[in-house]
Amino acid sequence: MIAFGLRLAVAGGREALTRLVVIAAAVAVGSGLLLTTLAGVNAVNAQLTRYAAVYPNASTAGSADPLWWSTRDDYFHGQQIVRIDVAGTGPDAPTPAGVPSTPGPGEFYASPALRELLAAHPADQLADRYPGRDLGTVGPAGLPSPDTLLAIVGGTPDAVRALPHARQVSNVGDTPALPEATVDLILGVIAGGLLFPVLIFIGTATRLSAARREQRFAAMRLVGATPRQIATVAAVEAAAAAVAGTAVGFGLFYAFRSPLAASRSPVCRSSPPTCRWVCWTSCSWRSACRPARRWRRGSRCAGSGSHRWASPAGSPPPPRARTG
Amino acid sequence: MSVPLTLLGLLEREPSHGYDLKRDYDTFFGRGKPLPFGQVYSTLSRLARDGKVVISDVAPGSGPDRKRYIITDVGATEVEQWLTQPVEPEPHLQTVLFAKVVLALMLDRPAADYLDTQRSAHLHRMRELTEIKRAGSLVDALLADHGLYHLEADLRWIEMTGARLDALRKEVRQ
Amino acid sequence: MSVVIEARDVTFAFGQTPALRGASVAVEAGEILAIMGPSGSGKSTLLHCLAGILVPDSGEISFAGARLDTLAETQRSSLRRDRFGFVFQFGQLVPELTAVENVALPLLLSGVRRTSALERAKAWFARLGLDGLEERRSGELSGGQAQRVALARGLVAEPQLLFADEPTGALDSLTGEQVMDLLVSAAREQGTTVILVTHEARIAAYADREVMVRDGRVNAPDRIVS
Ligand SMILES: Nc1ncnc2c1ncn2[C@@H]1O[C@H](COP(=O)(O)OP(=O)(O)OP(=O)(O)O)[C@@H](O)[C@H]1O
Ligand SMILES: [Mg+2]
Repeated sequence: MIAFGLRLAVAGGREALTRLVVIAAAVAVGSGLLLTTLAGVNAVNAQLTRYAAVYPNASTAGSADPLWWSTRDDYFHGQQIVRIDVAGTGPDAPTPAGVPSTPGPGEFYASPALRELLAAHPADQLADRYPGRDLGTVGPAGLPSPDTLLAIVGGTPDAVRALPHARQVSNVGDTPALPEATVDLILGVIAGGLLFPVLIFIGTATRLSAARREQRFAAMRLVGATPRQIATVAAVEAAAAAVAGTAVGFGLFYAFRSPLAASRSPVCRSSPPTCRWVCWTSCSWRSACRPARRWRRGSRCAGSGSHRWASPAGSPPPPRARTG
Repeated sequence: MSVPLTLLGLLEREPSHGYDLKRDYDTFFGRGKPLPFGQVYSTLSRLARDGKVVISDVAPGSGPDRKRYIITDVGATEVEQWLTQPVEPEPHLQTVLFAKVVLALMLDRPAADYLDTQRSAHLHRMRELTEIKRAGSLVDALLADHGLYHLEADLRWIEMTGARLDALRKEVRQ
Repeated sequence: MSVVIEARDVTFAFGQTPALRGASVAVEAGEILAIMGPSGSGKSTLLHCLAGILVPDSGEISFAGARLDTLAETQRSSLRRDRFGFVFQFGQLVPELTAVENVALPLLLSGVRRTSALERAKAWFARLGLDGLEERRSGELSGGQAQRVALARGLVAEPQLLFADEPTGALDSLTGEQVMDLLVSAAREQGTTVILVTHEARIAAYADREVMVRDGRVNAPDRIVS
């Protein structure tokens, strides 16, 4: 009966095939949008979390020793360099994201992009801005983007306190930037705005064929198909459309992921809402690879290790995330 | 069925002897009611008198079958006219059936039962004709069909009448 | 002769609409019975009750001496598959299947292997003058051809009983009679009992006997002595 159901669904003539394709297409659009949405929300959340790690809010809650923190923008040949000055006030002070320990006075960490820049220019042009001991590289968890020029420089509490925008923080980078309720809200809005019409599309496509299907099952009942045989055939047919549609949905998702992830145009830097939206989408696609890959590899890789980084050549960092 | 015109028509195929004409008539149109020889010859001599056929080459000897008949122009024209003009569409008013139904209603007899009986009789005859049709030649089948369609028409009338008996009763008993 | 299927005092209503109000009819083995009657009189409903497609509200249906109306749906399904054949007016072919697959459908459903089912189905095509139409789908057949395919499907499993509801209703007279001719010949050859619903006298004349349905009841006319 299963073979028979497949035979009906797939080799049932042009009309049956059209029907299958329409339903599968509807499901593909639906699943593709769903994947994009989930990936997008995930990406935004990840991105915002990273920004939050660079620009943490002042917080003195808890008994932990606070960390003095100051984020400044520096420029070299027109390129923005993010400079973070930190100073721990005690053994319990939090550690900035992306580095193993808080640098002490006269110590610093540099991002990979900054490290390249340092190597490419004479010390008196750039490296002198970061005197002291180079402790190593800032990991991806502390960078909004792989090509961010960023340095985490250690100092004494008194010196950092005197810097502009200085604040005391008691936790950094370990809370998601978006509260769960916000994520749910975004998902809900997207579900209403995008997925609901798609569901209606799927429903319509299915209903269009319902009369025909009813006729077919009536004809089969007539010649003595048992209710179970009919249920089997119906299930196989529905599954064929759903499986084909989901497969195509994943196919589309993969096909469009790479080009979108690669296209990080400078437009993203400007701030009109549409541009920001474009940027948002491209970032979403980029980050989307993470859950998708995890799915493909059977959740083998988690965390930043598997994160795919876009080519850094000449690309400015993304703008500051501003909600709204 | 018009015997003189049918014979004339048969003659239009080819000149024939009376015997051949009778045989062909019986084959195609007789249907269990063969044409008597006497009628064949009397008809032919009447046709000859009216100038619609002529007698050719009388063979030596005696007996009616010495003569061969040939159709004349007058005869051929008549056949032509007969074939091309439609048959008078006679309304087969079911006078007997109708009379029975009306009388049954007037006399307060079960007219519906009478119609039912008539229907079964009709269907019975239709079954016989269908059997002939299925078993016999195409000629048989076409003749049977003719009968079947007429019987079917009667049956439809019976259905319609059966459905309107109440109204008819009111009308005939007021 | 023995009675093969019988309805006794069957009533059936579609919601508030009564369709049968105490219909009784008995069909003998090998017989071809015509069920006649005006539109809406309950002919189709009676046929569906006899075939176990509808379950009567009251009364009994017995087939081969056993109650049929009390069987479970699954049992009635397999009875329909193995012992009964069906030919209806239209819409009975599965549009997604080719003609030969449609004919083989009852065999496939009862678990006959595909190749042998198709082989048995093919044998009917020559018999019903359908050569060369095996791979057409139902949308690509004329009404008469589709009806002959349906007839082949009704008879392919060599059923004991063939149920035909207006099998020629959508056909012109000549085609209709050809289908009836084939139906009667094949049924006689196989010894299949036929229950034929029709309101056309010329179609009913192919049967051995007719009954009239009126207002949900069956009037069997007095037998005419031949
Ligand atoms: N599915 C249904 N739902 C509701 N009422 C129905 C249904 N099928 C039939 N009926 C009603 O049941 C009665 C009998 O219908 P049935 O189909 O048996 O008539 P029929 O004699 O086959 O008529 P026809 O010659 O027009 O096919 C009618 O009054 C009809 O309106
Ligand atoms: Mg009906």
